[in-house]
Amino acid sequence: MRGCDVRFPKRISFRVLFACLGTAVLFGLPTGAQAATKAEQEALLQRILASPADYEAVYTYVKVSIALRDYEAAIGALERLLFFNQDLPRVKFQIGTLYYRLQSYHLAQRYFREVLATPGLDPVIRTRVEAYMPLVEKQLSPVRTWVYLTTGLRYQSNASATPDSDMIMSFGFLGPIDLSQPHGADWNAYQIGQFANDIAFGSQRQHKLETRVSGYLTEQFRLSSLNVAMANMTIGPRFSLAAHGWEGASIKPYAIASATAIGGKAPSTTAGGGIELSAPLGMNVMVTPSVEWVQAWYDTSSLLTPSYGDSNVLKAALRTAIKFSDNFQVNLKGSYRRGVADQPFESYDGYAAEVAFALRFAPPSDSMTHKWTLGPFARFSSIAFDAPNAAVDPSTARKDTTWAVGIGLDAPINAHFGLNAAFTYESTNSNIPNYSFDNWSVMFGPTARF
Amino acid sequence: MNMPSTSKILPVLIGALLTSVAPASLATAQTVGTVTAVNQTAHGTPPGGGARVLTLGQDVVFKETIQTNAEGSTQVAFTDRSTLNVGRNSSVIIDEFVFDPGSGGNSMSLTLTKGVLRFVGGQISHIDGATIKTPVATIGVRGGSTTVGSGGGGCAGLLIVNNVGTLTLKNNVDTLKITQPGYGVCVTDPNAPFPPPFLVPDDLLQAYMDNADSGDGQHGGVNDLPLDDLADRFGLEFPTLDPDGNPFDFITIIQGGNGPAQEQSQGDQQQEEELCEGGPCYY
Repeated sequence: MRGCDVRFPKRISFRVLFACLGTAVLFGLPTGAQAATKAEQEALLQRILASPADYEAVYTYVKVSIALRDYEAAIGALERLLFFNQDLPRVKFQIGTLYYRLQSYHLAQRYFREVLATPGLDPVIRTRVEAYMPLVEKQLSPVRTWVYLTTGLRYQSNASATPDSDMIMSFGFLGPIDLSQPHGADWNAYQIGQFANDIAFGSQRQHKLETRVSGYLTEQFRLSSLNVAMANMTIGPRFSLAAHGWEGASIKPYAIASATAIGGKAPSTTAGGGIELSAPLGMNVMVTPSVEWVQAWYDTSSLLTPSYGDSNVLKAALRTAIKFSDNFQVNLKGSYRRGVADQPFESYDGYAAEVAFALRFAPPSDSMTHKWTLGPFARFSSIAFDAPNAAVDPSTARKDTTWAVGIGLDAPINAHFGLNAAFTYESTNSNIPNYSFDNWSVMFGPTARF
Repeated sequence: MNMPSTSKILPVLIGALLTSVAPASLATAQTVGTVTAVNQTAHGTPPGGGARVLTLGQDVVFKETIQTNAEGSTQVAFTDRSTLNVGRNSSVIIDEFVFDPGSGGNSMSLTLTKGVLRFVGGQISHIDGATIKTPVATIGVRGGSTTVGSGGGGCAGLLIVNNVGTLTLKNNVDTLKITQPGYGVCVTDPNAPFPPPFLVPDDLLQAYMDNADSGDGQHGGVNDLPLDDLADRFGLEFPTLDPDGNPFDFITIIQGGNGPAQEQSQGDQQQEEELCEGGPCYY
């Protein structure tokens, strides 16, 4: 068996997933600690109402309100301090960041400008404010562009996805795999580029035309037939529903196209469209259901027994982001897809579920302006084909289940450059030995954001 | 037992009656907030009472009218955590304030008859919405914060600016939602459709916001001024920025590329097996 021997027994896999989801939901309920903090906020408010110049109470109230993400309460208290003394750059900086979080960028900019105009400003504060200013200016512009680039090295314990059993089923007969061919572990160098562009339109710039493009290239050190070249693009308008009484909600129809080439060949291209609704549930939860249809074309000329053929793929997905605090967010994803091809053995049903955590924390140095993020995740997916593929196993329709777990680190050094790293482990169990394998990988490299 | 004479009892009874009536009338005036900053001169006029000079820490009651002169400004903090800044030469009436944290149906309504106000919302505006009445429009505040006022700067009428959240404006003939922070309208006529919202220039907004703050040499009614280092002393941290977007998109993209590569590799292995079946394979 290649790679790690750790496996999730099938019988408990759903239990583990539901346990993860349950934990996430439980985190969403008001905990004793949160209730205590709200009680503390109320007690501090009463102290302030009784004695408005009790500065200890005011600052503690601000901290507690920020922790509760009650930013307006914090703003009201901080603006009161400016009533007492206009020469408080730290207070103005805080107010600016709070308006920034509330997406009130014009007011954020106003306060940041006042801070930068302060004579003898603390250099640490100046650095922090200067990090915010280009972001505010970008948000206030009707045309906004983001670019993310990363490159690095990736090691996979089983880059070739060689079966654990070293056995291959072919035309219903099980035989040993040809181990003389290159297989197993390998390194690659990878490059990822992401481009995002928003063009705001509408009488209040409340709508946006969103364009998203991503590209991915790998160069395997040994298994060059598995080099990946992949591009994906979506474009579509995002219409705000705020004017219809649904603040924070939006709906986005989009067109999507992608192309993937492996080892210089062109196994697949897709084109289609979809629609997604982003709907806030309260202040801390964003739910995004979506439906997408694509036509997929597979160039299978290099394979005698392809698993996929030209098909229509319909996908329904539900994403949920739960923000428990500024530094802790849980993202849940669930999806179903149905692929319909000419051949029943190329038609399939697929399910996937994922839970991912984002734990943000202060960088190790005061000179660093952006939080670092640690992201553990777990994912489960399954795929079941409609009929047996006679060239593989005439009596068994393929059914795979895959578990993956991992953790990522994003470590910005400054506004533009940083480092990232990730570890993932995946294990696929199939009712056909060809497709059961384990693989773990480690990747790391520099990042650039503009 | 000797009974006191009527001449001795009467003044005591009258005194007792007066002292019992006065607190009763104050008690019926519901306290809705507190003056948490004030630059003189600012007056408050409770319902049925005379004007009183507002002082720091003084209670503000239901239906109270707050008025300022050319030098005056004040901030009132309400029990639902909202705050109201009243600018110079302004007059604001607290029409309605119903707040019970344990129940629904809370409401808050202010009337700006002249001048400038800045309102930062609290629990009522977040859950039920608050209302600001003006001579030319009624403003529904959902969530957030607004600056409202008259006083020139290119707007001949009333400038209404959405700072945070959503504003719903109504007059005798029209309704308008301002959903984007930074946008506002200049309203001159309650019987005319609202003009389209515009992005309020920073200098114009600054003038209105300055109006509802302390001016030069004013300190909101305190002698012991807060200093900048208090932020450090009381542990207010410098916020660090969140990275743009999802920092782990790169993992998703790599996983997305892995699938086709694995399929290709498995297909190649299957193909090798099929070829072996047509002739000898040597391992």
